[in-house]
Amino acid sequence: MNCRHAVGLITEYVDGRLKGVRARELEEHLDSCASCRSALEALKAVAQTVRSLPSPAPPRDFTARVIDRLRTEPTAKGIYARWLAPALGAAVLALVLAGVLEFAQRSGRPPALRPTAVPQQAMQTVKKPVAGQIAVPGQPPKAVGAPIPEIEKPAAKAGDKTAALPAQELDRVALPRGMAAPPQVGVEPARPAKPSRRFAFAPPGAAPAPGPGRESQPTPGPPAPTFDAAQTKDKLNRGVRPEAFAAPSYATAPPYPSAPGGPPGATAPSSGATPGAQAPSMEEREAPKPEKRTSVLRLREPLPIILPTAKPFRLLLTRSQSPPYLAVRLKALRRAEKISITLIQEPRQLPARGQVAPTQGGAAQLVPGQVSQVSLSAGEEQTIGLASLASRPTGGIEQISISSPDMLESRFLLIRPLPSSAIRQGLGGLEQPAQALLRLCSLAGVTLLVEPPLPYASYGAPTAPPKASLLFLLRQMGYHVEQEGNLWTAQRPA
Amino acid sequence: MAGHPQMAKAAAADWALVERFRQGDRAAFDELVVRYSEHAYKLARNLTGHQQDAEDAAQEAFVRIYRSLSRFRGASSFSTWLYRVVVNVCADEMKHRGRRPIAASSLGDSDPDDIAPRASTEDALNPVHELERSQRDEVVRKAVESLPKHLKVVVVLCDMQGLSYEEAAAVLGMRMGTVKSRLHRARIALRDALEPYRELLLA
Repeated sequence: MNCRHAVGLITEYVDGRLKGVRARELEEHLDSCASCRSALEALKAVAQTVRSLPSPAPPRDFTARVIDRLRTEPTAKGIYARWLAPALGAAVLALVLAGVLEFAQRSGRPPALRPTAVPQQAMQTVKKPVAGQIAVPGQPPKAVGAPIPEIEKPAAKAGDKTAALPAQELDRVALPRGMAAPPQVGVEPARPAKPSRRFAFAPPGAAPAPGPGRESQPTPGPPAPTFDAAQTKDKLNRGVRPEAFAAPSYATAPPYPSAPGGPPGATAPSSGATPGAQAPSMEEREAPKPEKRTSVLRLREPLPIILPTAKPFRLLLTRSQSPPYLAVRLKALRRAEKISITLIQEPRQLPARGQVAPTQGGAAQLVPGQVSQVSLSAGEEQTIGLASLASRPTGGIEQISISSPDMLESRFLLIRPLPSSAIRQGLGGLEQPAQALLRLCSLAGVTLLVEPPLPYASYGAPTAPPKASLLFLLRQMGYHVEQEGNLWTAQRPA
Repeated sequence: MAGHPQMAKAAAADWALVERFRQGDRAAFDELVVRYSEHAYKLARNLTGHQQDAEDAAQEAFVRIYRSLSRFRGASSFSTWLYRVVVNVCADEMKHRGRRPIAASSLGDSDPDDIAPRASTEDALNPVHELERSQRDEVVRKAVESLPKHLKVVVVLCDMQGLSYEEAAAVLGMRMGTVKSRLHRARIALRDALEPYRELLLA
């Protein structure tokens, strides 16, 4: 056997498909030929490497979505039953009618029916079912996923009871120390039942101050049912449990908002934070007092940031030197969403409108101080970007406030830092939002799932793995991090 | 595909489902989707290199099959047929969209479910190992991506999807000898492409 012949057989040999005499001949040749041997080794290594590549699994609801999609298709029998049969029936009827008329006219007798009217009827009979059925395949597919029991919209009071305090705290806490307080913004997380008011918000300072007076104002729309915070929380809990986290790893997680001490959602707002109380600072939280609203941060690899938007929330992003770029991807996980997004920059940054530009693939543009509304249907994902690649701000605060109209539905948004070339520079793109989110969530007593932007290998030459940095961050914040399979649990000891 | 007794069994079961579907039982097709959606997605994913495209392509393949199942004569197994449709849909898709910029195709992919879970917890705890491994995977994936289409599809089917030469030949509608020679050429091309990363691969 010569080398040329031998090389031609290597692939089969590597794949275990060469048998008998041919295999022996090749082996004999390999014994005597070093170059063919090394070729064999190299190709074997290539085959093994390619075979060992992990295949990305489909999204967990993929099968369900395919099946849902197919529901919009008529079945093989259905095509006949729903379309052809009525059409044929109508056609036959029309023919019969036409025949009757024809016969009646020819026979010279005055027809029982007025001749002009009948053909029209016949035509209609033919057309109707056909037109009606043709439209069927074009009907929009049903909403994906199991329907979630509707939860009553909360009254305005709801937010006052549950969300106001944490949100107010947040305003202060999320500020970098030493910075002036940000302008009072109109996005008022405490008022879930009045989305329109919130959306009407525009530049900083323009919002009406929250006060008891507002509650007396009539709420547009049908009267909201009386709201019971605990009850709603309970519903929320029930509503969001396993369906929200369909993946097994999620399903094993304690339900949101999970805390060892019982349903924290109900207890969180009342836990020590009174309006007059000083906002908890980082230091305070590192030496935690025995409080009920233990935040649990669950990390999964890769880790989505999933914010339960049961309450409106603000995402405060402090930008230092990097990242010069940030974007979030929003995904309505469960049902159609209309989400309002407001970006507020610190006043001195505000005039620089050019700083904010739609990002690559970004569907919506955020303009400082203006409300952008994004509509997402269930499962849809959109990228909202703010990029300031041209001019880097040298500090200041950006506030992104994201809110949905009816806050107490159990909805989850997926928010993740968008992978971008800017993130290649380091992990700033992850850490800053993560830190802001952590603060936010620990205050609100919610469960947070955090995702590093991307498997870092995609960046080419990463500086450090995001996960390590995130873990570092968490440990710094006093979290105890445990890993179990793919699930990382970070918990602050009570 | 019928060579292996288990495969023959699976093929027979698929057939039974196809028959039931033809009798008007929608659930039978659902069962087929449940059986094969993951395979179809993975194949599409490996061919397109993009999550969203893969979802679209795999879904489209099922829709096409759903519509034409009455014409299925059973000349091949259901899985072969499905794979063939997926390959065709992906080819159409790629033609349609042209070349996607790399930023969008690879960097945009960070679905939480995107990456197959890793079994080794020890490695998962070690960021350096994990880093090396994911770098390695990425390098290899890119090398596969860069192959000419007709070679890539063979590598994907045989090495990534684990099909035999015969199955791949049936899916692609070509002779087994052609599959073999293309696989050989593809591996040589991969070897050359991966040569600069030899150390990474050996690590």
